[in-house]
Amino acid sequence: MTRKIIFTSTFFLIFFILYCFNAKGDVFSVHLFYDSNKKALFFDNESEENVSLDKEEDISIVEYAIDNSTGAYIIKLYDISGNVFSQNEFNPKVGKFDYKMPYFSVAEKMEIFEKSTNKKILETNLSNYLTCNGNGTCEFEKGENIDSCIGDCASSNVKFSQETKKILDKNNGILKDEKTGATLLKGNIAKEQVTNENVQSSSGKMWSIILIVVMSLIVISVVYFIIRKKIIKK
Amino acid sequence: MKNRVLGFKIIIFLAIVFFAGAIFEFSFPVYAQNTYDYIQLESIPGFEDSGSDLKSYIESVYKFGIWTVGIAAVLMITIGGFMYLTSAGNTSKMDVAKKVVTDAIIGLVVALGAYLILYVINPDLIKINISMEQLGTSSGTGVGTTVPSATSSKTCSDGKCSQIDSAVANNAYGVDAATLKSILVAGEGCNKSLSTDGYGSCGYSQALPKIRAWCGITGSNSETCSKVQNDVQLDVNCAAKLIKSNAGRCGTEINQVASCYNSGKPNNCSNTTSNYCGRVNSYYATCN
Repeated sequence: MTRKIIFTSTFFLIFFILYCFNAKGDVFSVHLFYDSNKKALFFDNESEENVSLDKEEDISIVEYAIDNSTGAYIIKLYDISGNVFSQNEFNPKVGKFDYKMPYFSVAEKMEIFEKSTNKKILETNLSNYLTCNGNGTCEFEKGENIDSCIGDCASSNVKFSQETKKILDKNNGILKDEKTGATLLKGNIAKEQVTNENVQSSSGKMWSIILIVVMSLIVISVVYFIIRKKIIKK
Repeated sequence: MKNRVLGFKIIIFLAIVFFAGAIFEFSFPVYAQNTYDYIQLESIPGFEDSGSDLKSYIESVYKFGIWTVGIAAVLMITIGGFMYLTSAGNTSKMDVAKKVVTDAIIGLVVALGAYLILYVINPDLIKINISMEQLGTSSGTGVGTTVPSATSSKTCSDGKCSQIDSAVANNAYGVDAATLKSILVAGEGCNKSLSTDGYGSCGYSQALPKIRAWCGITGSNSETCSKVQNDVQLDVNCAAKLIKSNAGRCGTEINQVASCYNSGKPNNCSNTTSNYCGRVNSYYATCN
């Protein structure tokens, strides 16, 4: 029995480690609650935040962008200047549910409207997650970088804030993400080569594969020994 | 006793086969020059609409296996439960019943383990990417061709749409220049005008307004359109970001890249407009 517990714990431990190790993707989750009796939509009171930034399976931005399905509610996203840049319709699920959408670094505010009445029913501030203000200056200290804010950090004529310039100077004009190797800032985009990114990315993939093989062998061995012990016992 | 040992050996063998199969079959894609679709003589029950290529067929077989294991496990647990209920205090019968339930659970965990672990690590690991060379074909159209994950020496210097060449070669995401140019020139038509279909696509990338915002370009739809129209580097970088973000989800064959850029789905070439993938494939094949 003890061995079975050890086996089960090992399995779930491995599962947990791998889960933590390989979280990916940025997705906005809007935590909602639909009361079917009152036919009313609310933010879920039990969630700490109305909207959270989850790292899980990616949602395709292309599919989200071309999605023209209709529904009872309209969800709108606004940038810092108050422009609506995203508008999608959806139907609620009864009770608690999450509405998922890709992460938008320019999102400053979200509003939900009832389609039939065109009345705004929910609103929440997303400025905690805003990492691209679109002011024409690349400000790394405010979370802007090549990935999050092409408009400010990867156009043909990038202007850097003083702090960002200092960071770039310290890093010889190029700043890379220590974990992924992805380029975050470039002093001069036009002259940069990104071959190192490829090398680091393939090395990461190789480690993942080695990890899978090792973990699988551990699991197989555990199963094998448990079963073997059982046979000897008999 | 001998039969029991044999049974355990079979279980261990099956577990190893499952793990090895999952790891080697699903993790290591095999690429060749052309894809090969075939007509199924017999489809897998429950997966009749899964597609006609080998990849889909193997996926169906695996999923069918998982379903079978799941159903068998439920059945065995039920039988074990029934045996336990009807053991009437007979300890040997109770032990047998417990063993049946335990073995069913272990079998289920082992069978699902490979899939679950690989899926949690990265959902792409369970996407099979097999292309078989088609007998009797000569020059390729680029279908099945794997594109480099970063800038390579392959260029498309045919003079077409040369105004984007510099921006493409120096894109901020290190996306392979030939791939990027093939999408922008052959797929999107080297046209930076606002699309007339009402969707608001704009720039050489023909990115939709939501995609321009996702790229980190702020402003109203018309403002972001002007921004990409007036800044080729910005425009091309947005396209490059999209291709790069799709790479993990959609695969690395040129037709998958094209399909994903156009529809967000990797194997949707047949549903893309005006032979989108075919145009990109053909153009990519001319790059050297």
